[in-house]
Amino acid sequence: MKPRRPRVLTLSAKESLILELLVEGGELYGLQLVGASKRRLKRGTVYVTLGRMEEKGYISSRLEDAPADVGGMPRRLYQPTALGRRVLAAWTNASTHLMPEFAR
Amino acid sequence: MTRPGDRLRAFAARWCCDDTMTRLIDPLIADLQHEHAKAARSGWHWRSRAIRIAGWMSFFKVLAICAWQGELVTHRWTSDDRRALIRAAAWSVVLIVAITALFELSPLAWMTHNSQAGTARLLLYLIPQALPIATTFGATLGILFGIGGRVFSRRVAEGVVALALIASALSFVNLGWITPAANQAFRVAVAGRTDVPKGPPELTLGELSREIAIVDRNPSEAPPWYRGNVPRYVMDLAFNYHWRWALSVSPVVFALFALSIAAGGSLKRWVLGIAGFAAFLGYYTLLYGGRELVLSGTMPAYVSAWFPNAMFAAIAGYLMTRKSVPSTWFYAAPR
Repeated sequence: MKPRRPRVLTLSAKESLILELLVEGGELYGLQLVGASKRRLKRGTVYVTLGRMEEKGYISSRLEDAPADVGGMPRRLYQPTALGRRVLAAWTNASTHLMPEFAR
Repeated sequence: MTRPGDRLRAFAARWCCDDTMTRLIDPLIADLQHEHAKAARSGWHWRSRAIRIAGWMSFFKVLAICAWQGELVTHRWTSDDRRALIRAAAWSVVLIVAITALFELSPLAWMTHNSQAGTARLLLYLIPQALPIATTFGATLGILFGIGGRVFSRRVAEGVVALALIASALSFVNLGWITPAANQAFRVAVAGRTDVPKGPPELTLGELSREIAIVDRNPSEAPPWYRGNVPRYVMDLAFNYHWRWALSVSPVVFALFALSIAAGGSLKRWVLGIAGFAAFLGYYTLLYGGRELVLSGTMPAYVSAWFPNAMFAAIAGYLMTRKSVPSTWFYAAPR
């Protein structure tokens, strides 16, 4: 799938959280992200957010290598792209500097 | 053996494009299957059931988001399909508005004759009451005028049924809660006082259910003007309860009926219009005739309320399986 890059790079709160989790945890699949987010991500919306982030080019995905012994479909694993890491770093940096002193 | 989520995936494949399937549906189903299998292997049967239910809910949420964002298959439809569905929807909306306006004419004449103050507000209160009937009738004629007399694909039929399902859900909310509140507001405004007691049409679905239980348990709890004939009051409540459910389902039943008589494209639209009008009259004759039978204690309320739906669903089923459904419904439209 060809990533569709927005002209202005934006990062919503959920996207930022997903990028943080992926940067910390490496490759994760959807439900792992929901679990790691401590209920801040919902299983009904995480896939839509992941799909949108993939379109923006912030993350990439691949199907897990070996078909699992449980007989289910292969899971999709997500990881941050270089662009995603840069956007997260810039976003975190900007929010730290723009946030008022008392709110930090 | 079917794995959990396989049926959901097959259902989604009918509606979602390949990209949506790859990006959204497949990861969701894969995660559901793995989580379910892990719980089942550990012997946590209740947990595996809960996972399955949570998976279904997430699935429908994702599908709803896709529909909202316009990511469903409409772009795979042919232009003929799209035009047919838009025509049916447009006809339906116009007819629903026109029929609702027609229903408002008689109360408007009454209000004008009696120089009733606040006419516009009162007419507004009457709109919810007119909408369920207008929706069923308007959508039926809309489907017949929109796609009748032409050959249409199975996708169009599915689209029509999906729209009818949405209409049914909206009708249910309207009949269950909005119409009773609007009816009561109308009565209060006309009476000019706030202590107007509610009758069965002014009770919400929950209130109806509670009132039936209370009066069944203790007939002296019935309103004073019904004390002489409490069984009739209970039957009136029961009929009001069941017919609201039945009327909510009627847009789907009539959509199927309209599709069954419009399929094949052999009948002219004016013939289909007359057939739709006759069916509608038949439906309401059965429904209100049934109400009298309920009130006289001859027929249970649920039988009377659901019989017209069952009859028209049976007719639609018969026509679809026996003669009318065109061959285009049975081969997949180009993907």
